[in-house]
Parts: sequence; structure tokens; C-alpha cells
Amino acid sequence: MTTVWAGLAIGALFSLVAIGYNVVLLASGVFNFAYAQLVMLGTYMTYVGLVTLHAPLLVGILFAGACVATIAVLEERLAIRPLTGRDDLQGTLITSIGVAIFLDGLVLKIWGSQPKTVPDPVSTKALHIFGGTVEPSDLILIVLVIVIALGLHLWSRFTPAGLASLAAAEDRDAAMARGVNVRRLTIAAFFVAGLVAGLLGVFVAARTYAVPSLGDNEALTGFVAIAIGGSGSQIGGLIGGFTVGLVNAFAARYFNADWPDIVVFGVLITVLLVLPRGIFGGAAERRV
Amino acid sequence: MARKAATTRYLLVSGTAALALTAVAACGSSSKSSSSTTASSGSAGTTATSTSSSGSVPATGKPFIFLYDGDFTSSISVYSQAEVLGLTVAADQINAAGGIQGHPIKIEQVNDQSNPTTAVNLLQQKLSSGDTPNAMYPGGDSETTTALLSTLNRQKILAIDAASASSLNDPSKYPYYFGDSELTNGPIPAFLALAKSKGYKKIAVVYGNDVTGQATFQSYQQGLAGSGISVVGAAYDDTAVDMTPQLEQLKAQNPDALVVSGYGAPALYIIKSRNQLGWNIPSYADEVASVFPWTTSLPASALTNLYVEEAKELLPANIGDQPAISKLISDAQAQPGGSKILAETGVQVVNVGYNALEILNFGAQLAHSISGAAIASALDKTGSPTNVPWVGFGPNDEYGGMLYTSTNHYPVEDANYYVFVAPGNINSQGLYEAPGASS
Repeated sequence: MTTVWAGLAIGALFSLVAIGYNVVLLASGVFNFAYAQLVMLGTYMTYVGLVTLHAPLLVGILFAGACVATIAVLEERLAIRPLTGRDDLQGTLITSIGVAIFLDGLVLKIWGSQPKTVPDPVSTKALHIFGGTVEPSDLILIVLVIVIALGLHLWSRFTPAGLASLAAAEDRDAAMARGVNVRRLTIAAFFVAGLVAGLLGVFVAARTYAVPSLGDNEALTGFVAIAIGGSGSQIGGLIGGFTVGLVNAFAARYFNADWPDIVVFGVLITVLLVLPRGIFGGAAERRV
Repeated sequence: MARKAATTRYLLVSGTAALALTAVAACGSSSKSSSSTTASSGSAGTTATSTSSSGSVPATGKPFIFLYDGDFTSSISVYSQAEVLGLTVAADQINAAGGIQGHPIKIEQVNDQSNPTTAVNLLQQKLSSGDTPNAMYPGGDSETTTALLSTLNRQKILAIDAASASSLNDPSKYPYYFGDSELTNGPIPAFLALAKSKGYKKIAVVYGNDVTGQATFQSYQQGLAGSGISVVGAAYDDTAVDMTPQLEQLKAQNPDALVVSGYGAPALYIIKSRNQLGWNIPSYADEVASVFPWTTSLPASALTNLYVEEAKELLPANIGDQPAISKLISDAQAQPGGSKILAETGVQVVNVGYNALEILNFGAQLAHSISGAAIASALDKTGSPTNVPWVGFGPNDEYGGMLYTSTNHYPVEDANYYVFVAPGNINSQGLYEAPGASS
């Protein structure tokens, strides 16, 4: 059971990245490759808040959320909007990769390469649940990721703003013609994605520490998670992330270090062969 | 038609996304990509140096170029700076005494960012420009060293570094390459002595799934074979953020002790996962993990039953009878940024650079030449030298030394070279101060 908890804990990280990808994708049709780097920044901003500035826990968390949300909005303004204005969504892939590399370099330059320890927000004494051990901060991260994914899913399906964002992602021009403020939705999506990354930074850092390689390590696996779960589906991203985490953990537990990546990508290929749009990817409509 | 178009668009986006993500992953690992030949940030060891600093007769003649290739970007960059600091101190001392066979030593450095391909390209650029070095420090890690040695061999350029894979100790294949720090099996005699004294019957090793990690595991397997102590292992990927599955795998085999191999985040994850499992097994950091700043990264409660290996002769209590080490420390502190580097990495790392040049100079004195082939040939016949210029093996090399032969190009350490102590701190002199507990 400990392996299950380990898989869910790392799966929560992958799901978090997938959620971030989906939030922006659903609102704007843009695939923000720099989201994993925003998650990494969340850990560093938490470090700044709690360690450098010695702020109380809640203040540090809010500080991190505000900082990363601001950086995300800046990314939208500088690297994404100029291309969406030209209807160049494929170009946004490239610019978001550029942002990812820029953030990697910036973090390395400012904080160096040694991992930074962020104070654990809760006790570090492991809990024994269902026959396995799990750290309290991991359990909280798992629960929060599930709550956020469910919340965003419900928001996108049952609120006017959520439905408007789906419409904008499906057909930007049609949505604008119907009076949907697509630009505002895109900005809001980046803001929310950044805010989530920042607010959860303290729990992510409790698992990974603040390390400059976190973004690179999580970016590709986050993509695998939404490819398995179905891009554009928050539930799909959640399931995909936990699936990848569990497969990874069990492969490492019962085989060796060579197998986790092989098994994960094997699952990805199998899912895409059977369900090209992912497990929860929606069917495309066909005009007749 | 609409469905086909939608599917096509989806596949196009997904495929482009996958390619782009691959680029992110690749760029991330070498992104930090540059092939600059300039020095890294601040501190000692920036680009060329090594004119005499002591006021004695300066060396003249064509410079003896020593090219240092290291990583000045990632988490190990400070160790590259420390090695360059040691090289600088040695170069200054040697130049003050007239240079290497009359030639002043000039240190140049390049930044490979732990990328063997970058390292090879940088060396090729140097060779193409006609700026052939006389000797080189080829990266310091086993992968980079292996990648560079074929070119260095062809050019008959001397190479010396601290790479630790046993496969590199092959004079028939690499006649111009010497190691100045122990192989991965270097600490094995000391660990074997410890394991026997503790009555350990089974040792578990958790290691990185790379050349150095695999070499470490093999070293323990081979070194403990025939001793009645079995060895089991579990590897982790460098991108892993949790080592619980690996440790569970090892725990299920009921070992008596755990060897921790890794540096930076992986080392932290190993201890974190060990504690999460409530597995209070005696844990011994290998030579790589031992230099990690444990006490500044984790609270004392998380470091229970963790021991690091330290060179006995570099502990404060033993330094008094080694004036050469004291001089190395004082000269290093006199260099710009030297005190900071010493306090961060310890004198043991500075030693690596220092010994590298002292060994080459020793060989040049034996050979009366600076030719790579002549120095290599002379070092092959080192035997058991006395009045040696390198440091760290005791005042008279009691605990081993650079005992090179035609079949061994690595230092030899006996079972008394290392002690295992609780994680401590490096003091301002670069010496390791353990809090008192020892295994």
C-alpha cells in the first residue's frame, strides 16, 4: 500500500501539471508548455516567502500564489497574446517553450543549483493509512489536486464563464462573434493556472524541495498525463496523472529503474491506439 | 469530413506538442547550454592564471597549458570551482619554483555543463584552433571522461581527473590517463572493514541509473564478493522525485545496512523516503553523497543513523602533522573567493585539483620532459615514491598514495584511509567537523 501512496503522491504532481495545461487549453486553445516551470516557480516563491522573508505560513502561501499568477499573466501578455492575435496557435507552442527555458535559466541564476528546503507546512511524521505509510503533506497534495480538478471540471460545465471558455477553445471566432470576451478569458485562465501553481507550491516543495530541474522533469510527464486522460478534460488529466504516477511507482518497486519510463510510454501508446483522443477526450462532432 | 479534419488537427497538435516537449526535456538537460570558454561566476580559477605569486624566480618559456573541463552551471558547479582553486594553488607553487621543467603553467577552463557531447565539441574546437593543451582535466565524471579519452589518447595528451568508474583504470587502453581520486571501489576496503566489525551480512545499495551509479553498485558487489556479505541494489532515475518504491524493494530483502549513492535532490529524496518508511537502517553515504551538505539541507532528526565517509587525514584532529595540507589551505584562502569555496566544498575537493598538477609535475621531474608520453611512462614506474608532493594520504603516504604502475593508474587507499562519521559541517579551513558520532 505504501507503493500506492507513493504513486498517488507523484501522480498528484503530474495531475497538477496536467490541470494547468488543461485550464489554459480549455479557455484559449493554447498549450502552455511552461506550466511545469510555473509549478517549479511556485516552490521557489514559497521558499522566498517562508524562508527568505520569514513570513507566516498563510502569508507565504498567498505570496507564492500572487507571484506565480503574476508571472503567468506576464507570460500570456508577452509570449502568447501576440501570436493568438495572429491566430498562430502552433506558434504559441514555441514561445511557451521559450518561456520554459527562460524560467529554468532565471531560477538557476537567482537561486543556484542546490536544492532549497522549504519548511513543511504540516508534521513530517508519516501516517499509517490502509497498511501503508504516507506523509501528511503528500496526502494533502493528493486531496487538493482532486478537489481542484473536480472544481474546475464543474466550473467549466455548469457556469456561464466555464461554458464560454469551452466555446472559446473550440472556436475562438465564433465565440467572439457571440460576445465572449476571449482575451479576458485567456488572461483569467493563465491567472488561475499560475495561482494554483503558486498556492500549492508549499505542498509540492514538501515532496520535491525547490529544485531547478523540477520543471523539465514534470513537463513531459504532464503531457503524457493529458494525452492518456484526454486533452481538455480536467477529470482526464487527473486520472491520467494518477495513472502515470501509479504505473511509475509499481514499475520501480517490482522491476528496476529502466522500466518506469518504458511502462508509462507503453501505456500512453496503448491508450492512444485504442482511444486516440484519450480516455476522457470528447468525441468530435461531424456535420452531415 | 469534419471528424477527419478534427482528428487530423488533434494529431497535428499532439504530435507537435510531443516534439516540443522532447525539445524542452533535451534543452532542459543541456539548456543551460553554452559552449563558452569563459570562466563561470566570480571566484577563483577564472580563465588563465598562474604567474608566480611569491616573488621567486618566475618560470619562463612556452607555457604548459592545462585545460580544465568542468561543469560551472549545475548543482556541482561549486565543486568545479574548488578543483580549479586547487589547480591554481598548485600552479602558483610550481611556477614559483621555476615551473614545470622551466615552463610556466597556464590554466584554461571550459564549461561542459555536464554534457559529454558539449565537452567533446569544446575539445575539438581547442584542437582545431591549434591551441592544443599539454594536459587536461577531462570533466571529472565518468561519462564525460570516457567521451573525451579517445580524442585525448589519439593526440597523446595527458589527462588526469577524479572520475571514478573502474573501466577507466585501463592503462593498456588509456595510457595517458591517470586518476587522482579513488575509484568507486576506493572506499570498499574501509567499508568492508566496517561491515565485518558490525557483523553485517547483507548490504543494500540505492544508486543512480547512470555510469557512476552503476559503477558504484558493481564496486560494492565485486568488493564484497567472497567476504560472506551479500549485496543487493535498486537504481533510480535521475528525474525521480520519490525513492519510496526503490527503498521498499530493498527493505523487503532485509539488509543490515544501506549505502546511499547520489548527490543533490536524489540524495535528499532517498533520506526523505527512508524516514517516511520508518526504516531506521544504518545508512552510509558513498563518496559522492558524502560531500553533499546534509546538515544545511535537513534537520538533525532526519539524519539519524546516516554516516558519511571522510578521509582520516583531512579531519581537523589529524591536520597538525601535515604542513603541506596546512599550506594548501592557507594558499587557497589567499586566492580571490578561496575562503568561500573552501568553506563550502571542503579541502578534499580542492585537493583533487591540487594533486592533479603536483602529480604531473612529479612525473615531468622524473622524465625530465613535459611530453605527455614521457610523463606517462615515468608515472607508470612511480612505485612507492618518497617525499611526494601530493597530499591527503598521511605525512608519508601511510594510507595509500598515487602508487601508479603499468597496470594501475589510480591511487591506492588502504582500509584505514576512511572513517565513517555523522554528517557534520565543513569549517572555515575546509576541514570536516563531525558532531562526534561515528559508526
